[in-house]
Amino acid sequence: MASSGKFIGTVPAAVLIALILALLSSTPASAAETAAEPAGATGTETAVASGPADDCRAVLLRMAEQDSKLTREMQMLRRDIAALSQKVEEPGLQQAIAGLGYILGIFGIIAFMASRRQRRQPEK
Amino acid sequence: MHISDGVLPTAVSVAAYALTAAGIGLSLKTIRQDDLPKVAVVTSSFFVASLIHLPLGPTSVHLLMPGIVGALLGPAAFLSIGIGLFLQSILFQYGGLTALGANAMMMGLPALLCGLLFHALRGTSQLRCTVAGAIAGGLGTALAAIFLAGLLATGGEDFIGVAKLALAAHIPVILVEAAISAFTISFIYRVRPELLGPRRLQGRAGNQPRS
Repeated sequence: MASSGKFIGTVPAAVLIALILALLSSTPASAAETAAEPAGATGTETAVASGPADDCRAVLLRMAEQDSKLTREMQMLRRDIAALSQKVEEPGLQQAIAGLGYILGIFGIIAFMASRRQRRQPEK
Repeated sequence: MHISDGVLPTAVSVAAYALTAAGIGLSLKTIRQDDLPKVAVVTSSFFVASLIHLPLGPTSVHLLMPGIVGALLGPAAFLSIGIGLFLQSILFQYGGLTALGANAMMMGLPALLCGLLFHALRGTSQLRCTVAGAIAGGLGTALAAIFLAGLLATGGEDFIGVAKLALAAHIPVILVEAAISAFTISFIYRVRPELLGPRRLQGRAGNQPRS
């Protein structure tokens, strides 16, 4: 009970602190964004001036590189997943023992029924 | 060597189920109470044998054992194989429930034939018994491969092509099973010869309740 009371007491305090932090951090962040916007704009202007075609080609090359790398990694992952799923599907010791149990049980039932029939026959 | 769900036409699956049911009925009719433990043990071996894989190039094949089951159990082989395959399809995801009839037929008929052949060939000496066991053990798997091709042919496959492929893939299994059957049967012959097959000649007398 004591711990739960403490917990209820700490929750509003934590919420309050979080709210205050969010308020404090939001104002400088927005200020930084507004400050960064003009700077970014000037940066792209200078890039355009230096040679747009070269830059685009470099970006495209890098994207293609990343794409092929990602594709390769995806393929590896897919292969891993396939191997794993095959491994998961493979029956193990547990299934084998379960099956043996079922077999013994089924034949136990058959033997039980046969013995009952045999016991009844002399009475008739 | 299992037929998966949805490969065979429905009519063939149903017919195979009917035939398997008839085979199991025959098993239950002919089975004797004294033989129940033996049938249970053979069924267990049949069930577990499919977990023994033989590597074959990139893939692997596993033991099937219809021949030795037939040689040891005779007509009761159908019951044994039906139960074994049912549990394999549930626990090991081999084949599927709709193809169970076809799978049981594919293994059960070779087992019956091998059982008959074994009893025709076995004679009285240990050597003949061993050789008959080896032949039955190897032939069971070969016949199962041929039955597989026949069943798949009803689904539109090329019979000769599938038969060749299945037989070629199972050559190591056939050899290993012939060896295992020979060893098992010669061992049983030495230790408990009365376990070999249904005692048809002396069976009727033993069938009466001993009171």
